[in-house]
Amino acid sequence: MSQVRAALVVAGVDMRRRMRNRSFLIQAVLGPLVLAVVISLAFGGEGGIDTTVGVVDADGSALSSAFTESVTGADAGGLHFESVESADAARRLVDDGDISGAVVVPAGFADSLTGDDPRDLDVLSTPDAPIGGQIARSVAEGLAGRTNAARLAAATTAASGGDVPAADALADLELPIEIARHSAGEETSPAAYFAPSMGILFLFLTTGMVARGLLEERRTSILARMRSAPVGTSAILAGRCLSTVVLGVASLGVVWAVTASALDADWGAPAGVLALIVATVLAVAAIGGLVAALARTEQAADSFATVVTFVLALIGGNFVAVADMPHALRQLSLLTPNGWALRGFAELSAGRGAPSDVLVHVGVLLGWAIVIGALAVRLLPRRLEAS
Amino acid sequence: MIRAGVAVAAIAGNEMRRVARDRIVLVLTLALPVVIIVVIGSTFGSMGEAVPVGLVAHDDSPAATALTDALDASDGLDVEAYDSLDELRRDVRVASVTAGVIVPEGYGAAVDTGDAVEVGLIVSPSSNGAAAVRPAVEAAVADEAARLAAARVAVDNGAVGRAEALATAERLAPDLPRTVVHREQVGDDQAEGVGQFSYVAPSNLVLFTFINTVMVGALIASDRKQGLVRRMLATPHGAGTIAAGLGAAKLAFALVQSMLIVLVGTLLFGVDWGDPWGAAALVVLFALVSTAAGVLVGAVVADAEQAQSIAAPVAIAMGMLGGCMWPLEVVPPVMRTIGHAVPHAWAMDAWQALVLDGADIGAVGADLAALTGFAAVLSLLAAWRLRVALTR
Repeated sequence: MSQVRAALVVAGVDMRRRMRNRSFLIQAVLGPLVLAVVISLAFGGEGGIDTTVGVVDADGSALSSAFTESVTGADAGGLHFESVESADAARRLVDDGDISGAVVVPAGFADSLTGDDPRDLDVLSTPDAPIGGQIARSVAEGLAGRTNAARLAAATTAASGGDVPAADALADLELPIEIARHSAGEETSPAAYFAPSMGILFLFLTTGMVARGLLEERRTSILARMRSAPVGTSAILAGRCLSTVVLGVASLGVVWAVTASALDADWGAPAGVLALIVATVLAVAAIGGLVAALARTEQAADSFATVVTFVLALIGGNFVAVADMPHALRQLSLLTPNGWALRGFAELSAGRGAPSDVLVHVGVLLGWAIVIGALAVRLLPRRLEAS
Repeated sequence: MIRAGVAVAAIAGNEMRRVARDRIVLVLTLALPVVIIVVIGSTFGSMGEAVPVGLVAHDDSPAATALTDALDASDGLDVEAYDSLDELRRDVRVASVTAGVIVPEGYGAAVDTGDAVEVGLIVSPSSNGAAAVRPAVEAAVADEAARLAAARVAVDNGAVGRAEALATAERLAPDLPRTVVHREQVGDDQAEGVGQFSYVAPSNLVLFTFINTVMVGALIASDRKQGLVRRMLATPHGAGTIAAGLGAAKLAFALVQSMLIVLVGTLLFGVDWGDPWGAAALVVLFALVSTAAGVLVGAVVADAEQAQSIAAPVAIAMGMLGGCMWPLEVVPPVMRTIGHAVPHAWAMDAWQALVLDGADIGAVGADLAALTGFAAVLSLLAAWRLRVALTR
């Protein structure tokens, strides 16, 4: 019983000390908030795209001018199309960054369609502006698809013994299947993904500070002095663990509250969010404990925590949204607690999931907490008592 | 003058020995950027593989089956059948498939009557990860649509039935000459294969050199706290000399770290860093900028803990603003302007010109000049604050 009380006292003292410490507040609360704001600003607004794609009509045929007109008339949001004099001019504009890509309809394009050697369409792009290049390509593929369909229509009609329609009629051929884009979930603000993501990143960094703190207390013999009272190492560790978890939950909770009210980031079902936050904090705290157990000096703990933090964050999807990663990296992200936590948060926000939808995520995170925590509990007393 | 130079070298050497003695610190801090580039490099290396795409068919007509087969047969797509739309949407959200295709109910009937029909493409709401999938899906759908359109024209203009016309279209399609879209990259001599990794490698170099160097530089705070630096003042060397020595050690560290990333990128992943003179100037200038920023942080904060806690958020925020985590092309113009208030944006502009456009050192002169400005201003600030902190 007295050991439990001792643990609570240790936890209370630790919490008070860290609440008074500006570094903790900066790292646990201010850091993630600032980054969530930066991300929201970066991706806020109208689709975030502002790009101009050029269209070159070197053909001058009815078909190519109809194409140019339809495309340049289709400005949407931040996406603009602009008619450009020649392919060389377009090349210069793309090179100078004035337009982000261009579609070139070459001279003789319309005339070549009935022959055996149709002219190709050219798309100019630059690696500096990948999105503009993709848009230009998509537009060009659309035209190519329609002309290929027209050619097939002419050939099929001829082979069936029918009267091949005039070129003009074929040029107007509409493809019967269109692709409609759907979102896989609710349109959520980017803050809804990146707020938990940055919260988790800084949670890792703060637990690095816990490791440093433990080692500092060992070095300055504070731990030894505490043990001279009838307080066991396990009571001290339990206390520190409790304060770390409480503060971690509080810090993610503050990020949640602020981003939800100020940045319009809807994290989803509160019960599910809370369960995920607690499970995430436990997993991260366990990793922090292991770092403290493995590091010999405070500096080593810092470096070790930094490496673990950034590697897990990078693989887990804290910097690059999981969906934007190459496929192999996505699979790899399932080996990190970050990957599971972020998927869980996404399931609640974008997926509008019920709390029961994140049971698996919570379970995996608790698994991390138990396995890594058990290792830390085995190793830590040895490290902390050996002073 | 010479004596001061010797002193600077001695202080720097001593600093580096101190760091080197803590082998864990040395290995971990130098290994981090390398580990990161290896992780990213190996996963981006697998990008050419087929992308998993889920498909829900609400229609079991032959036309729907034909579309599914066309998608499955297309290069770069690996089609996986789903029974439930909700399940597919979830898997797209959590990215276990890259995108989803919905063949709507009544697809076959609409196609039979020649009505327009919409095929759904499900993409993740918060990502443009589907960008890689779209062209492949569009191409497969376009081929299918061409066959249907051609059959309709044949039926409208001839005396054949629809089934026969479809069969004819299918028979003719493979051998018909096609209009293809030819892609040309502008303004460089680089191969088309200069892929995504060539953006990722420099952006990680910039991001992590800065984070690491600032964190290491900020450790000056702990030396200050221990009185280590004040003790040095007892020697006949001025605060300026001591500051220079400390800074030189941190600079050496930043340079070694950058060179490791460049080397690993080149040797393991074949990253072409562009014009060697331009790359060298860029690496050195950015190392100077990072070092000055680190020393500045180390001079203004109270202790190592505060240094660590400020350094990480500041360095990450600067990386975000400067385009290390996403190309500045995708952010609103005002954020692009704001981004150029941090050195990262200039460094990224220069790396893009060198790596992606094959520019030489002259072409990135403006960026290098901006970085020189950052380095000068930050160094002056750092020297001033460190001097104040030392002599206080």
